Parts: sequence; C-alpha cells; structure tokens
Amino acid sequence: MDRAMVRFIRYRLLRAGITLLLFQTLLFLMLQAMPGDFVSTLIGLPPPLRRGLRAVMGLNDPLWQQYLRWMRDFFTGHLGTTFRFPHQSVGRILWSLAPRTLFLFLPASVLSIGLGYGLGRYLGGRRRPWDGASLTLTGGAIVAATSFPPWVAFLLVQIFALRLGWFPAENVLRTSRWVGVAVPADTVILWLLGTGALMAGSFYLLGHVTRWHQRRTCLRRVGAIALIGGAVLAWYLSGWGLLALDLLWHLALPLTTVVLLSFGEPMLLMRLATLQVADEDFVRAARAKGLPPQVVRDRHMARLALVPVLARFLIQLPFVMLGSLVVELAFFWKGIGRELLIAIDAHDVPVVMGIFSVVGTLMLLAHVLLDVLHAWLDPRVRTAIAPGMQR
Amino acid sequence: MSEVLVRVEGLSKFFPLTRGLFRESRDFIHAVEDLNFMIAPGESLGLVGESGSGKTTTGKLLVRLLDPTAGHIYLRTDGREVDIATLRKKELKAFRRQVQMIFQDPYESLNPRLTVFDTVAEPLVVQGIGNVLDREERVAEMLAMVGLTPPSSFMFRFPHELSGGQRQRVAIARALVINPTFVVADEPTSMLDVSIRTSIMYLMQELAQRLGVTYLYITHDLAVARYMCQRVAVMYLGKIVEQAETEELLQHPLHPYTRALISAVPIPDPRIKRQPMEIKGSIPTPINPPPRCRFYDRCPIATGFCEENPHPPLEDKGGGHYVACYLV
Amino acid sequence: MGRRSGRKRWLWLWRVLGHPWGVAGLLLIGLFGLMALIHPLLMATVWNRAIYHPLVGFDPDAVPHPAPPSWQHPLGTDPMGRDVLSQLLYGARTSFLVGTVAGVITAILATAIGVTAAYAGGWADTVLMALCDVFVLMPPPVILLILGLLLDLNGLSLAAIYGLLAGLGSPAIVLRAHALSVRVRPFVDAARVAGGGSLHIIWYHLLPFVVPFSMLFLTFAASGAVLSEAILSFFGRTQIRLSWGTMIWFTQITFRWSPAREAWLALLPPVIAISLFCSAFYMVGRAIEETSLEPYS
Repeated sequence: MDRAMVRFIRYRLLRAGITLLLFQTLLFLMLQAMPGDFVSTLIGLPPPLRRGLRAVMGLNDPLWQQYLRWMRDFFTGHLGTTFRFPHQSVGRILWSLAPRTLFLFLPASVLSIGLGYGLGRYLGGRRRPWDGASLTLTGGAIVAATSFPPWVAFLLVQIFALRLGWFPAENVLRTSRWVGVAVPADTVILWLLGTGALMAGSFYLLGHVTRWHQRRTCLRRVGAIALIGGAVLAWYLSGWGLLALDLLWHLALPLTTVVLLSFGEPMLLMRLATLQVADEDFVRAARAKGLPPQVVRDRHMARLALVPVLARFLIQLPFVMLGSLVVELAFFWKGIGRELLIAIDAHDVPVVMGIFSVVGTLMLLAHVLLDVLHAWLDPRVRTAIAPGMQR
Repeated sequence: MSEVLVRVEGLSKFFPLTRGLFRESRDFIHAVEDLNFMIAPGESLGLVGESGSGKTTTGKLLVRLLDPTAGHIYLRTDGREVDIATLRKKELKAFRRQVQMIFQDPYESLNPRLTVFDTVAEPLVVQGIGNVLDREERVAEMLAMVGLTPPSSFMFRFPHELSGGQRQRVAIARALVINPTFVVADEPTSMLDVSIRTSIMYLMQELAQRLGVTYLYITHDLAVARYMCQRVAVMYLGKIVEQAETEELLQHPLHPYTRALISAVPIPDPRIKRQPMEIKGSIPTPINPPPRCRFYDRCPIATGFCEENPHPPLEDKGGGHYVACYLV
Repeated sequence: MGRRSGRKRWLWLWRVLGHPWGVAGLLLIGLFGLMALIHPLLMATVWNRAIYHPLVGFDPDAVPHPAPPSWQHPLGTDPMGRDVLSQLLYGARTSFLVGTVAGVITAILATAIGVTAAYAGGWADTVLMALCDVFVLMPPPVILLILGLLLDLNGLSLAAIYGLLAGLGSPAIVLRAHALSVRVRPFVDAARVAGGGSLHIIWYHLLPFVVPFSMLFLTFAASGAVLSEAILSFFGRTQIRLSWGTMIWFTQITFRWSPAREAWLALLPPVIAISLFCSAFYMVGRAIEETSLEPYS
C-alpha cells in the first residue's frame, strides 16, 4: 500500500466525516421543518400536560441547544426512545427488526448484482452484441427495471402463490410450524445468513484455488456439491432444518420480486462497460497472446469494467432499498422498511430519524469503501485531482 | 543596442509539493529559477533542453498560462515596456492580442467538436474582432497563408479529417490570426512525422519573415534549433546554462552540458570520429535543489569550488556568448 | 458559404437516433405525447363530457362497474364508472409534467454544480462535493415517500423536489468528472491563450462535452420521478387528481388485491402505461450513454 493510497484513504475519511456532519444537520433541519411536533399528535391532552411534556422532551429549548443535543446523541450512539412505546430505545427496535430486513436485502443485493454482473459480462463479451438473445435479455431487463414494483409483487403472488400454490403469499414464516419452538426466528435467520456468507466465500475460494488446476471444472463441480451437501447436512443435524426450510420457502417470492426489479441496471451497465473495454488495446494484446476468450474476458476486461458497475451499484442501492420496502409491505414482513412507514404515519420522530441516520451512515460507509476499492483497483484514481488539494 | 521585444529578468516559478488541505507546503519544485534572456524583434530564440529542464514551463509563463512566482517579463508594446508578469485579469485580454502560443500536440490542441473555421476564428471571436463575414474572410486568408488551399475545402472540416501536419497548420493559423507580435512555439514538430517537420518549420520561418513575428522556439532537438533559430539558449534544471548565436554555440560550445548535448547528436558520416562526452546519471529532481551549481552531480569537470559556491551566474564570454560556469 | 459548423454540436443526437433503443424510446415518448394531446381533442369533439370525463364522468348504461371493454369503452370502466381510456390519456399529461419538470431540474442543477465545481476548483469544489455527498445519501424515492406523508404533494411539487434531490446527488459528481477531463485538455489552454475568459471556455468548450451526459441524467430522472409518483399515488400519499398511479390506487382500495377479473382488467392499462413510459425514457438514456461514450473521432 503506497503513500498515495494512504493519503487517499485519509482524505476520503475526512471528507466522509464532513458529509456525516452535514447529513445529520440536514436531518435535524428537516425535523424542525416538519409541521407540528409529536405532542401535537396526541389528542385529548390538557394544555398544562402538553406544556409539561414539551418541557420534559426538551422541545422548548432554544434551537441550538436542541441541535447540540441531537449531534451529541448521534455520535454517542443514542438514537433516542420511541414515542409510541416509552422506554423502548430506537436502537433496540432497529436491532430487532434488522434480521428480517437483512434476510431480504442482503441476498437481493448480492443476487441482483451478481446476476447483473454475470449476464452483463456475458453479453458484453459476445462477438455480436445485437443478436436475438441479447436483445430479448436486455429488453427484458429494461422492462423489469422500470416496472411498477407493487405490480410485479402482485403478479408473482397471483401466479406462483395463489394459482400454482408453490410458494406462500405472505409473511416470513408459517406460525403453525413454529409453535412451541424454543429458538426465535431471528436467530435462525442470522444463522442462515451466516451460512450464505460462508458458502459464498467458500465458492470464491474454491474458484480461486483451482484456478490453475488441470481438471478444475470437475474439481469445482465436486467441490460445489460437497459444500452444498455439507451445508444441508449441517442444518439437518442441527434440528433446525425444517425451520430453515420454512423461512427460505417464504423468502422465495419476495426475493425474486426484488431481484427482478433490480438486476436490470447492473446488467446493462456491465454489458456496456465490457463492450467498451473490449476495444481497448490491452485486450487485443491479451487475445493476441492466445489466451482463451473466457480468460480474456474474465481476468482482463472484467476487472476494469467492474469499477463503474460497483459505482453505479451504490447509486442503485437506494432503489433496491425501495424495492425491499415495497416488498416488505406487500408481503407483510415486519422489517425496517415497513416500520419506517408506520412510524412516519404515527409521527414517531425518533424512529424515523433513527432509521435515516443509521441507513445514511451505512451508505456513507459503503461509499467510502467503494471509493477505496476503486482506488485499489485503478491506481490512477489515487492521485486524481482531489478537491482542495491541488488546482 | 537595438530595441528588444521581450526581456525576461529573474523569472522564477516554484510549484508547491503536496499541499495538504490546510497546511502550506514546505517543499517546492523549482521548475524555473532566475531566468534572464532577451529576444530582439523578428528574431527566433531557441530554448533547448531535455525533459524536465523547465522549457515548457517557461513558455507557459510567457503567455501567462502560469503565473510567475517572481521576476519580470517585459514586452515592448507601443514603444513602451510593459511588465506582463504583473498584469491583472482585466489587462490580460489586451495582452493576449500580442502574444500567442502553438502547442505541441496537434491532436489535442484542437477541439474535436469544432470545425477548422471555428478553431481558427476563436481568437477573433474572443477578442471581438469583426463580424461573421469578416471572420470568414480572415480565416480563409490565414488558411491560404499556412498552405491549406483551397481554403473553402478545409474550412468546414473537422480535426479528425485532417492529417497531423494539416492540423498543426491549423494551429499555426489560429496562433497568427490576430496578428500577434510574439509567438511561443512549444515543440510544434516533435509529434509529427519526420518527413513533415521540415515543411512545417519552413512555413513558420516564412511566416515570420512575412508577418514580422518573433518566436520563442522550444525544442529538445538541436538540429531543429539550428534550422529555425538565430540564437539559442540551453536550459538545464530550470536555469539557462548557455546562450549564444546558433552557429557560435554549435561550433564552440563552452558549457559542459552543451558539449555533452552536441556530442550526443549522431553524425551520419562513419569517417568522422569524435570523443563522446560522457555525463553520468540522469537529470536529478528539481525539488528543493541545493544552492550549488545545478549541474554539479553530472558534470565531468566539476571541482570542489563548484560544490561550495552558489549556481554560477550567466556571464558574457565575448560576443554575446553567455555561459554559466566557473571553469570556463 | 454557409456556417455549417453547428452540425457537429448536434451529432450526438443523430447518433442516438441511429441506436435501436434511442429510436424505440423516442417513438414511445412521441406516442405518449400524442396521447396527451389527443385527450382534450377528443373531449372537445367526439366524447360526451358527462360520460367520458376522467374524473367525474359516469356511464349509466354500462353497469355494473367496472365494466369490461366494449365499443363505447375500449378499455372498460373503473369501479366508479369512469372510462379507463379517457383516464389513461389524461394521465399521460400528469406523467409528462412530472417527468419533464423533474428531468429538467435535475439536468440544470447537476450541470451547473458539476461544471462550476470542475472549473472553479479549490475550496468551492470541496464544498460543493461535500454537499453532493450528503444528497447522495438521500435517495429521492424514499425521501419523497416520507415527505408525501407529511406534506401535500401535487405533481409539480413532487417533481420539483425529486429534481432537487436527484440533481444535487451523484449526477453532479459524475458531470464534474466529465467537465474536469475536458478542462485539462490543451485546446482549453489554447482558448485561454486566445483571451477566452471563464464564461467563454465553459460555454464554448466544456458544455458541449458535458451536455449529452446531462441529457442522460435528465432521462433517468424523468423515469424515476414518474415511477416514484406512481408508487406514492399508489399508497395514496399524493394530492394529484389523476395520474396512472392514482388509477391503480383507486382500483386497489376497491378490490384489495382480490383476484377478481375486473381488478386485473382495470389494473393492466395504467401499469403497462407506467412501465412503457418509464422504460421509454430509460431507453433513450441508455442510447445516449452507449453512443456518447465513443471517442469523438
């Protein structure tokens, strides 16, 4: 890691810090700009009680005091207590809702970007970018990307749940199956997510390790089967197998909905980026070396083409979030998205702001990570003209 | 002493290194330091040096693309000498009518989205000269002068429809369209095919005579300097080490660096044998150079005296031949 | 001798038209434009106001409502007896309003900020980029959903807010990068040496390179804004009188996702319209992207 990289990371973190401050300030201003406050939404309270409540909640203090308190609370990790259920901290609520949302959001993001990346790479690497298959696929992607999310959910439910009965139409789990079960659903969810991550990592390792082996395809197939088999076996032996299955079964439709809505853009971007890189001289050099087209595509072109895809993925993340939100509503999942909307309806400010702050911070972190990754992949970025540093 | 068109005194340009967000820099790149030279009207001065010697920076300073850190650049305008180093923004525009530049890269110095007409007419547009019809006439005139005839067939072409030599002619036309008195040419032929170089240089000479333009010709190639320039200044690491009339410099180089440069030029006659003048290493970094002679590290004849004393000043060794060396 | 120099300024547009998606997208947009324009025409001539008015029309003959397609009502009627086709055509107006306003605001904002930041450099650049960083964290659809609950949003205000949120975010950052890459090219130096001031350089050299990408963001914003409006209207959070989203909302609250056939028929037109409209803009944007990224020679 050279000096330029270190300097870049430092600069990026500094900039992120400023952004975070501005962001929180903006949230505070939005808060103040909203008509009325929480106390005004409570009906039937005599004025003295209102005044007292306001004083206790600190709503009467001068603005700058409230602002300072706001910032201090945020940076010490206190997200406040929800208005609706006194003594329940926002943090605790978010924490409890997180597993379900993550159960949908994480696989959806990974799948949509993975699918998009893979398909886009394939389409972009073809000799003739405009034949039938390519057109149908890209056309389908465009239509899917701009579809009305509730409609997609509706359609999938109609076809696969109600007509065909293959998958359940709503909820995270079937309560009947979980009656009397000692372990909470969230734990199982987290274990499932962990398994998924482990498998993903293992697959990657497998591919990496068998890179140079003669019979790598065979090895990889065997390895994949072994891994999957091992995972299934582990789950079966743990006794939670059926529970996990129930959860996965309920995940199928919502996941498909979000992935359908989201895979289009990464795919199109990746395709475009791959097509462009294909014209670069270093690709021609690789081909001239006699490398098989797959290697040329995957090792040389994809790496550079990956960069804009990652960048746009981040930009697309909010749409994946929106999709997840809508899906949570449509399928009645008790996740953060749905909670957000309920809280807004109830004017439960701490919850709303809490969700915003957390999600915003996470996204900011993702941005910083992405920029750093970008600088790592493409060394030219490390010394690019950074604002304020050089003219 | 006849009137001088351009007189540079003590010109310096330092670039700060790694300016942090809040701190000022402690290290500086001494791109150009304490330059002194003069150019007579109608003359071509060649500025010769290797990469990193500061010659391009000098060119940019003279057209005020960069602002000098110190020093003066006197330009004779309307009989008076104006220090263009201290001009402020508003006065710069008028100054720009007098001093123009031809760039090195014929491919990048023209906007690919603009036609030849747009490009050559741009200075006229910016300086507010004439109306559209006048400009068309003037552009046609210039195109004919640079050898792009018939002008009507070139006027509305785009840069990618022209060859390198043709593009550079367009660049020359653009530089001369508002009748400047002084033109800085930054290696205008180094990116062209060798076979075309002569024709471009010939064109530039011819135009100089016809229009009475003075050149500062920046190049790394001594042969080119010999062809184009009456006087030559050799730069090394931001300083001028030798300055003389071209033939005098080439026949009787005094500074060890100049000698090494000349001896490096191949002579296509196998019968002539010369003693190659070896200098060690490559050009050192211009960051915070020590105050001694800049050439000390590579000089084959350097002595202790050269190390202990500051960089030697340019001195006239007779007949307008200036050298910056203690040992000559 | 005519001044044909302007031709290349619009070359990128011709290229877009040569691209299959560009053509498809523009054709679709044209189609929707036609729809929007036809409606007042039809209302004034062929259609009886009492029956075909998109908001208050009612056809007593085609009971029960919602009615299946017929000769009088090519797309049937909605649960309140209003002609679906009339609503669809009227809704095109709302969509165009929302899409255009959001798109234009986004493009102008992003270009202004991106070019200014790129040209000015130094502290102005840092401040603007920090500001944009904040807006990147605030995705327009989500924010709008929340604002929709608190404020009364009509089509115009929704579009304006969307444009503000979108234009100050990543488009500005991307456009700044493009402007920067142009600013360092020698012909900008040449223009400066010729005496060109900042305004001249921005207008003459920077903008022509940047504007195609502004158009790109315009189309994406238009697409996203219409989609967001549809989602918000679907949840009943807007004060728009009629849009495709409100059509879906209305049908939905009447049928509550029941698989009744009438529900399907009433839902299909607005859903398809939304999808086609958004993908039309999206396609044009993609076409611009694919054609403008080629080097210019």
